[in-house]
Amino acid sequence: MGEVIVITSGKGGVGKTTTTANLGTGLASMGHQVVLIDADIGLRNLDVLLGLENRIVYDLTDVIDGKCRLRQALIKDKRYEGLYLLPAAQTKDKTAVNPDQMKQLCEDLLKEFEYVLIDCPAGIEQGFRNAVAGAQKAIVVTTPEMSAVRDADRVIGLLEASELRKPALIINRLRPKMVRHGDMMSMEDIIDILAIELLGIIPEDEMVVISTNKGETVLSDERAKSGQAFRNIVRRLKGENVPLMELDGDGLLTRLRRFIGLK
Amino acid sequence: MSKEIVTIKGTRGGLVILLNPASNFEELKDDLERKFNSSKGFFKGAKFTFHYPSGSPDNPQYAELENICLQYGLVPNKEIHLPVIQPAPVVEDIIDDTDEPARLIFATIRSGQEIEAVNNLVIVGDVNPGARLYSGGSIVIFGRCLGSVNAGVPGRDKSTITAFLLNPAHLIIAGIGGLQSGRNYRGPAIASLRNNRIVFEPAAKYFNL
Repeated sequence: MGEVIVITSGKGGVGKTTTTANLGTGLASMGHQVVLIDADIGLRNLDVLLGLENRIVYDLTDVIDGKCRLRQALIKDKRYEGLYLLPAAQTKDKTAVNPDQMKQLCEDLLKEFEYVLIDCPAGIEQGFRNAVAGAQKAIVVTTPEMSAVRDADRVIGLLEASELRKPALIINRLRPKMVRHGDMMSMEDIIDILAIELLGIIPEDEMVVISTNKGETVLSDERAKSGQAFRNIVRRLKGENVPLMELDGDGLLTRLRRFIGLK
Repeated sequence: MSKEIVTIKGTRGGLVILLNPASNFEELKDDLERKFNSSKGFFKGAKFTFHYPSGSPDNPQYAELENICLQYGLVPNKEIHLPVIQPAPVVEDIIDDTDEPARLIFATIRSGQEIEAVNNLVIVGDVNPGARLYSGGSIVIFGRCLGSVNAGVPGRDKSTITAFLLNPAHLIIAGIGGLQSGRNYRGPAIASLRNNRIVFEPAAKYFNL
């Protein structure tokens, strides 16, 4: 039996879509059948992150309106066997879908896929209600900023109210150096406020921007620290006990090795 | 009071006939008959009762009035009562200073969540920024208080607010208080009202910590 996981945050721009794309590719690279749903109707992005924007024919609302079969709207990923995308409509808005339809859609997808990941839009309105309707599990993404943490707190409250108890937390774009100097909220500060289980921490990494522009996911970049962080999260999602990676800067030896091209 | 001699009121159960205590019996009788005559048949079959001004209903004159009603086809029914307007409950009565129940909540109260309690409120967990608490009495938080807390809502100025860390965005006791920026004790603290001003004190003062 598969799992429907919604990736949400409340605040925009904290990395919901990036996280969805990376977790999806990670699970698919381990041989799972994965479908990603872009629930951000009207402001779709997940297709760009996966480099699939040119292949969209049908979208989520077409499936719900019965204009095409579910199978027709699913776009197969270029690199990963078993990874599919159900893109959002760009010409409509969030009211084009209702929570009951999303619930039904998730049930239908679960018949064929092991993991259904839903990329939730920012905000707590209809788009959010649609995205969480069919989910069994929730991942809350936040950045180490008070505004993002506050919004995450609100969203956790709403998730708990809609029976999605015990959401897991991903802290994105952490800068260990700034934390060390006391200029940024630390992992402990955030967990202290949100009081939920931590799924992983992703360090701030330029590689994310580079891979995003290429329509690739940073997870497949062996050298990127953020990619390593995403790979760890994927393993934790599967129930493995992976310790948090050491973010506190590289040792002299590692830097030296990199300098002479060994790593 | 109505200046009419006889007033017929419709209620959910039937008709209530009100008699003006200032009028004498003959006036009452004439007016009642006049009312029934003026609306022939309209009252037929309706249930009715008399609302006696003050005197005892055993007065034989009242029996005569009832007879008039029976003649016009009305059905007596003692079960009909004028709707009684309940006086609004006084909040002070509900809250008993000595033996109050409290609402007990085991949860983190998050941004956007509101908790209300008629009497005291006990939270085992944190009250995060953006959360709101309203309590008729005191508030005790076994955790950090960073949200808005409103205690002693009906004007109970003896109410207090206690937390392991008391750094609320708003703190109001019995309508007094407001923005509370910059207040932060390292340990448990109690806020109370003294001479119409909010006072923060380390809770250790009250315990042998």
